[in-house]
Amino acid sequence: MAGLSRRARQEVADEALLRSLYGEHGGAMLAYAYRLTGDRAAAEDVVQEALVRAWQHPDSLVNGRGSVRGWLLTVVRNLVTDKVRARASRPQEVAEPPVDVAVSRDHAEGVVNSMVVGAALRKLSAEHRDVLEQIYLLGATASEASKTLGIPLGTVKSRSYHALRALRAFLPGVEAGLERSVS
Amino acid sequence: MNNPDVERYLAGTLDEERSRLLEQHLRTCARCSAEVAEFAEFQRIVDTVLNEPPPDGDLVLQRALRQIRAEAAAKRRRRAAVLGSAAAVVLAAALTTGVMVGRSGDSLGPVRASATDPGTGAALAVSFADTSGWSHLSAAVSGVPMGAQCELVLVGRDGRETVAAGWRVTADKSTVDVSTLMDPADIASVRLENPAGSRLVTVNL
Repeated sequence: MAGLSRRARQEVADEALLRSLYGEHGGAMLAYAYRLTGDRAAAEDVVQEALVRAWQHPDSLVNGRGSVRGWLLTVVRNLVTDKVRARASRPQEVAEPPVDVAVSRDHAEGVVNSMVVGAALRKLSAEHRDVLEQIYLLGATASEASKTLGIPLGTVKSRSYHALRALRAFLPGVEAGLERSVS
Repeated sequence: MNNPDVERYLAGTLDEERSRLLEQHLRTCARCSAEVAEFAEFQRIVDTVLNEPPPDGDLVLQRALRQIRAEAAAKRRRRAAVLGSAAAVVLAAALTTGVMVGRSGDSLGPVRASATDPGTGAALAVSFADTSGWSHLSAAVSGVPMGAQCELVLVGRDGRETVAAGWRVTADKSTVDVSTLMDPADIASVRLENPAGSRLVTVNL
C-alpha cells in the first residue's frame, strides 16, 4: 500500500495542529472568551474561529512575537471586539440569555470548567483580573506580570493571592468540593 | 480571624525567616494548615481547569476541524476552477511539460476531471454522479495499449486507497463504471495503474 499522498499528509498535519492547540490552550481560550462575552455560545464560536485563524496563519503562530497562547488569546480578543462591533451595527439582534444561566447549571452539577472560571473572572475587579489573566491564562511568572502590568513584584504577588480568594468566593461549587476534600 | 503571616506566606511575600517559623506553626495548627492546604488546592484547580484540555467534550474542536476541512475543499475547488478555465490554453504546453488537468462542476453536482500523463501517454477522464450517500463513477481510459490490464484506485482525503475496478482494456472496454460508498468530496484523486502497481496516470480532484 502506498504512503499517504502529500495532500492527505498535509491535512493530517493540519488537524493534528488544531488538536494540539485546543488540547493545550482550549481551556484558557474558552475561559477568556467567556470572560469577554459572558455568553457560552458566543465564546465557543469565537474559540472555533480563533482555531481556524491559527490554521490559516501558521506562520504568525510560530514566528509571532510572544507565546502561542498569547497570540491565540489576542485573536480571541480581536474576534470578540469585531463581534461586539457587528452587533452594535445590527441593534435588532435578539438579546443574549443572562450569564448566570449557564454558570448556575454547572454549579448544580458540581462541575467546574473553564467557562465557569471565565464567568467568575468577569466578576473580579480589573486589578485582580489583570493579575490572574497574566499568571493563569498567559502563564506569566510574577516578575513578567510585574513588568507587563507596570506594578511592583510584591503587589503582583499579593494581588494574585487576593484575586484568587475573591475568585473562589464566586465559585461556590469549588468551595463545597474543597470543604469536602479537607474535612 | 486570619493569621496575616499565612496570607503573606501564600502570596509568597513572607520573608524566609518568618516562613520557617510559620511552617513550624503549621505542623501543630490544624486551622492554619487547613487554610494553606485549601488555598493550594484551589490554586491547583484553577490552574488545571485553565491549562488542561476542556473536559466537557471537544465539540468546539470538532466544529473547527469541520470548518478547516470545508475551507480546504473550497480552496481546492477554486484552484481547480481556475485550472479548468485555463485548460484549453494549457493543453499544448501540458503535452510536453506535465499532467494536464481539466475540470468542470463542483462536488455538489456531477464532477468531471481528466489528466494525461506525458510519461506513459495514458489519459484518464473521470466523472462522478453524486447520489445520496455514495457516488457513481465513470472512468474513460485512452492512450493505453489494447489488452493491457488496468486497475482504478480511489485515494481518499484521509490517504486510504481502494481499488474500485480492475479490467483489461479492449476497443469496446475503454470505459468502466463503478459505484463507491465514498463521497466524491472525500476522494482526493483517482489513479490508473497496472496490476504490478506502477502508475499510468493520476487525476487529482
